[in-house]
Amino acid sequence: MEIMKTGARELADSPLEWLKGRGESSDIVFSCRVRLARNLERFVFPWRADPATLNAIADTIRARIASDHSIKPLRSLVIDSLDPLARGILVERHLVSPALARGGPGREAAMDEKGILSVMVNEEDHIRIQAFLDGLRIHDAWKAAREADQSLEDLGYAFDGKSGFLTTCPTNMGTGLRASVMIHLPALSVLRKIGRIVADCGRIGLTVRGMYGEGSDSAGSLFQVSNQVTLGQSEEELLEKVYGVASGLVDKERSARTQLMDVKGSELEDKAWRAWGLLRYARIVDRRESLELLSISRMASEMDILPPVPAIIWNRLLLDIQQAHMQARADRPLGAEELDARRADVFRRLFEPLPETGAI
Amino acid sequence: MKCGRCSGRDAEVHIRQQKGKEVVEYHLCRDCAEQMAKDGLIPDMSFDFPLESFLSGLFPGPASGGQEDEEGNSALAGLACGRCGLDHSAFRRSGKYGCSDCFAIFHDSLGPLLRKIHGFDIHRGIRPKTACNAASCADDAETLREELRQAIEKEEYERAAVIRDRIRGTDGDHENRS
Ligand SMILES: [Zn+2]
Ligand SMILES: [Zn+2]
Repeated sequence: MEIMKTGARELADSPLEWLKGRGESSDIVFSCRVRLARNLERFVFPWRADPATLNAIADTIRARIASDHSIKPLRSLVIDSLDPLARGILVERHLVSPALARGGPGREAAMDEKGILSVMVNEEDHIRIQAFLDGLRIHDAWKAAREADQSLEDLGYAFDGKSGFLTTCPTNMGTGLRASVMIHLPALSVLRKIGRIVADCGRIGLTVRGMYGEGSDSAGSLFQVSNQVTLGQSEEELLEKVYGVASGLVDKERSARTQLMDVKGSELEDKAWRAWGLLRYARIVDRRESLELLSISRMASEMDILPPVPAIIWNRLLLDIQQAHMQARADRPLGAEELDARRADVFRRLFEPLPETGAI
Repeated sequence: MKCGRCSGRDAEVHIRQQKGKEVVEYHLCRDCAEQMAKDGLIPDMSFDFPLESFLSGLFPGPASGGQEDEEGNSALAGLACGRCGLDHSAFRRSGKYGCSDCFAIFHDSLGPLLRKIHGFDIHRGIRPKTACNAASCADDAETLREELRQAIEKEEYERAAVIRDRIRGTDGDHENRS
């Protein structure tokens, strides 16, 4: 049983498999996630449990994870032992939910060293297994999550023959499965086709949300598509539905890009090179602007308007410009304005040395 | 698309909810969605931010039914889970179950609740290997056949098809085992 004290810097630099961006359609689908909600029959659910019980739940799950070779090596982190910055890193990486990051007795997370699997302990349910992969590898993500699931099921899951896996919230009952993809749809956004897509997805039981939505549209044209219902369909059907819709959206986005080039080619080129110029030379970039710059320049790079940049660099940038990640790499606390300046530094350090033609 | 509640901001949250046989659609801005979720009028769609009490509006209760007599109400109000201590009013308020025993205690509202949220109330996915010894599967098959009979009676054919699949599934399990 191994509980390590872990610093924010180390967490910020640890690998995440999806960053590699090598899976199917990973130019447009940045990552996919499969999440399973599970509870143990012998304990009351976290929100009804006293601190001693919460600790007993965490001990039970940690001991199981440590003893089972099929899901090793997972390392367990006690949330209360992490400083706020380290927790922020885990949240920005979606390895820990904001709710779990608040900490408290028995709140833990276990993760593998490749950055594929994370097991949240005593979140809304006793166990939340998550697997993240690049591109449309949603079935592989399911396999990874399911492997951990099968190992943990010896602990005795709360399960009912008719209702399926029993969860704290009835919205997760049945399979307890939530499959989601993070998808980049800049051309469809420009052509104002997102509203229609959102409505169509709603009609077949899928939810579309902006990843970084604050105002009217999602900053950076990043959307999350996930299944809304968890009961009454098999895991395979739910995965297939999310996969099918996501790959349909990939095709739509590709043809929208062609269409955009046909109708607004020179405008697009101008916008792309302006974004490239800001990435190379700007001195202050706020969060929203950074997401927009990354979105347009990534699309234009994939369309051969801008120089090629490997997917792993685009993906890393999405994390590296977030607050906790920037703070973890700084030697002193940064104020809001310093963060905007630091964000510009992150871009400049990477883009300024890049040649404007030819491979990198 | 503008928000259907305030008509001012753009709609970002899109919800399709089964209410009995009807399907109701909401297209809402973030603020309105949050407010309506807080009021318990719609389920909360964010999967990492559980909001307290967001489902309470979905729960069948004395106020919504109007058919229960005084006795029925007090019988419901007296329900409490002996294991986790969750009582009926806390259950309605929070929209959450407290332990695996709660599902038996609040059994009467479970099926309707699940049908409102998911459109179905019968699990068709994988089962933990420990959960399906021959005896409990036999029980399940029995329950399912009763469900099927009721569904056909109520002309809920889509649901009946799901139940039929499920029965085939459990039968299949037994064949594999023997
Ligand atoms: Zn509104
Ligand atoms: Zn209970």
